Amino acid sequence: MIAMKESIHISLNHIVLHGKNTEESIPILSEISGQLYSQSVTAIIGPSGSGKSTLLRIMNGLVEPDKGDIFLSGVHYRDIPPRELRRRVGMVFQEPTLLPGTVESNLRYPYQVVRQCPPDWEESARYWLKQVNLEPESVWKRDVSDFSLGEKHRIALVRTLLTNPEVLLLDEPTASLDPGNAAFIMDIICRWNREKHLTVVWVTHTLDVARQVADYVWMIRKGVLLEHGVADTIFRHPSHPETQRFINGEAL
Amino acid sequence: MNFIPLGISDIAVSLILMAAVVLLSFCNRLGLEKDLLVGTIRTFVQLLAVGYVLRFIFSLEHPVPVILMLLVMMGVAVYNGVKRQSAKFKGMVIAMGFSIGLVTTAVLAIVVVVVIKAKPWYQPQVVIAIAGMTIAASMNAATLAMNRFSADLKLRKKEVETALALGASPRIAVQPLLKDAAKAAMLPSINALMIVGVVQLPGMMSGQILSGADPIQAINYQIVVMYMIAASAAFTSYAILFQSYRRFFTSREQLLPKLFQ
Repeated sequence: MIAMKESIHISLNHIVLHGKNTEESIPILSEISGQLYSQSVTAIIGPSGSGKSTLLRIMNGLVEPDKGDIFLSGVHYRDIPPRELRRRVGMVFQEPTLLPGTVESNLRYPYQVVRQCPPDWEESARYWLKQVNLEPESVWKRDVSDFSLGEKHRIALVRTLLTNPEVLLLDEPTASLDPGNAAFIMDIICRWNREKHLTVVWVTHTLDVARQVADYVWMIRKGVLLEHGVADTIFRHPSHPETQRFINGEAL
Repeated sequence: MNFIPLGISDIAVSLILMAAVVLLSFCNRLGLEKDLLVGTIRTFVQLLAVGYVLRFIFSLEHPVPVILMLLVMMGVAVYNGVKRQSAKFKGMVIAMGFSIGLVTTAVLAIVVVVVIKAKPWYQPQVVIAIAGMTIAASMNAATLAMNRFSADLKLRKKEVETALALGASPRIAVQPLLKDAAKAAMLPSINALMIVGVVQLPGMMSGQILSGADPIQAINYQIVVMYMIAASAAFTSYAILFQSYRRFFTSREQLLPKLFQ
């Protein structure tokens, strides 16, 4: 769902991140500038190792850029306390790292970390579990090691949503899933984008997500934002030759 | 039983043992001959030096040389502890010094003054001997705790990042790692409590018996020392972990990138 161009949710200005050695000629990210619009789905595409995941980590405050500014709803990141930032901009990692224990203890964790467990937390948790097709009654007390990878992804997804984020960052969440599970996750994220007005940023090195669900596409290669814009336009008339090659399925 | 003093000629004879080891290394092409030679000489020289220093300190019968000796021992322990760390952060020396120093002083005070009731309190035979064991236990625990914690931070980065991404403070994000590091540091002394006397006769006890002490007195001291070592290890590991963990994070509560290079 494309929102009005005026409502910018996250804005990046000339983000630069150097490697371990600042004398290195090729930075991990060079001069990334762009806007993420409220309630939109943005797909960040590009070959592996292009810095997409690192960019996501900068967006949720896990990594500090060496240069540049980044704003959430107009407020500079440095003026937002890191913990608040990370709850507002939620991140789903490529691998669902769950704590050893039951589904219940895993879903209580996002409340425990901020030491605020409202009495209706279980209700929220069960609601979200139903949303991802996991029947709360049968999964609540089960140990997380019992579940398949696809199911673990869904539990991790629910866990992140319990922090009530405004923005959801997804780092190749379907990379290790079979097509059935991948389609399910894609479907549900889109639904949430529409129904819950979540701004979604999806990093992927495959194109199906970008083609099917994205409103906007960013193309990143070797740390440089080659181009970005409305998904349709990028796919039909990419302005950069490398984007065209990537879309065609050529190795870059 | 009478105490049997040893002379230089007696030690010279014991060199046969080291010569045998050098020969073994040579014949089996282990390549350790140089280290063995250096080690043999260093053992002799270092212990000789310490022996004469101790004799001198004992003769002075004054608290200041005893305290100075303790400070030297703690200093060497801190230096060693820091040297053995692969992941060094700013202020590590202070953290180590503070942890080892504080815990050792506290434990020493309790054992020497309250348990043994040495008079005067600075009696060097008691203080320096007990301090040696406490400081060693403290240093080993600090090293184990920090090594384990920094290794875990690299291995379990995903766990820590997941917690941070959910809004956890650094303290909560590394909580499981802190626990595991503390347990790792405390385990050796706890294992020692289990096996002492059964699997292993401790060196201190053997030394006391060799010098003519009544075995019951020797074991009394050994019991106190075992508890003291367990306490030193436990409190030092917590002290060093709690002072250090925050330094692996930036001011924006991110894991320090330098760690992972």
